[in-house]
Amino acid sequence: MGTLLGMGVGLTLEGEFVRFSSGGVIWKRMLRFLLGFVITFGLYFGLSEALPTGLHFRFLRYGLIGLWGSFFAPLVFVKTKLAQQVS
Amino acid sequence: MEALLAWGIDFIVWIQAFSSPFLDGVFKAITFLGDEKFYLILLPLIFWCLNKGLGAKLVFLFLFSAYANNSLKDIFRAPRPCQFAPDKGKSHRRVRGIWLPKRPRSRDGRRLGVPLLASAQGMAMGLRNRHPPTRRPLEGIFGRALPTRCHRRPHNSRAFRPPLHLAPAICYDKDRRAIPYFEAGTGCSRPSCFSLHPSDQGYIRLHGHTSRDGGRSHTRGGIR
Repeated sequence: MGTLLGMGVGLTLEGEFVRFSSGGVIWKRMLRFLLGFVITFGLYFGLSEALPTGLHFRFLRYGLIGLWGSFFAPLVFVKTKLAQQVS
Repeated sequence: MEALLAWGIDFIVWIQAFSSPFLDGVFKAITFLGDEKFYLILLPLIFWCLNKGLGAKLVFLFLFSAYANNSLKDIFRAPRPCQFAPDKGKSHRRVRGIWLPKRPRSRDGRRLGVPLLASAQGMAMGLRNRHPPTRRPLEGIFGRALPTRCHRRPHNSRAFRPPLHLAPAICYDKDRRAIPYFEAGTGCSRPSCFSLHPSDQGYIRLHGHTSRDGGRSHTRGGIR
């Protein structure tokens, strides 16, 4: 449910403020994936160490991962010119 | 039920008698296909780098699949094999291979490849288990095939449905856009469909309806 909430909020924000394009040249796509992959797994393992155990924190952890993947990662891609913004 | 559970354990123990390092690797790879980390790699890859819309839809489909899988486990509350028969199970676990019929089709001619492949993967996950086994082969089928039942439903065709089902599925609207939705019902009754998907405007739209034509159409709109 945490992922669903994070993704839902993230996709709404992404559609409103970012609107990135998943296309582009191959090296940009690879860099996007590498950057996103490192931070996603950093959050996945880092938050599991940093946050206490419990259902609420698990919810928070997956929510943040969903929010990162659907909103913050595309935002970073657009800001770093790794992805184009579509109107 | 007891007989079924016992059969599953015996079958796993029999399968585990076959030994090969190669098959170990194969089944570890198959198991990874059901791992959370695999989806943390695959789904963002599709969403960020290949097809944004498809990636978003697949995420929702995956989440519904996971929820349906866990819900079925909660409903049936069958004991784990290690709880049911803690003395059984071996450290060797192998299977010779999985047979799939060539281009299987449902009664109305639709391909059943996706649910069968999902069943095979689920079953394979059930077969390669640690000592003692934690899953049963049948659980692999029902835990995977039903939640991942995914069919293409042309606008004027009748969908194949098992007698009782609860499953995420994909249909296509008139513009040939894929719409993942969640369907619950029986094969003979009107199914209730719930879909949760990002709309074109970036909103998340949740709508449910009961199809009045046996599921041949899928209306859009509803609760926003």
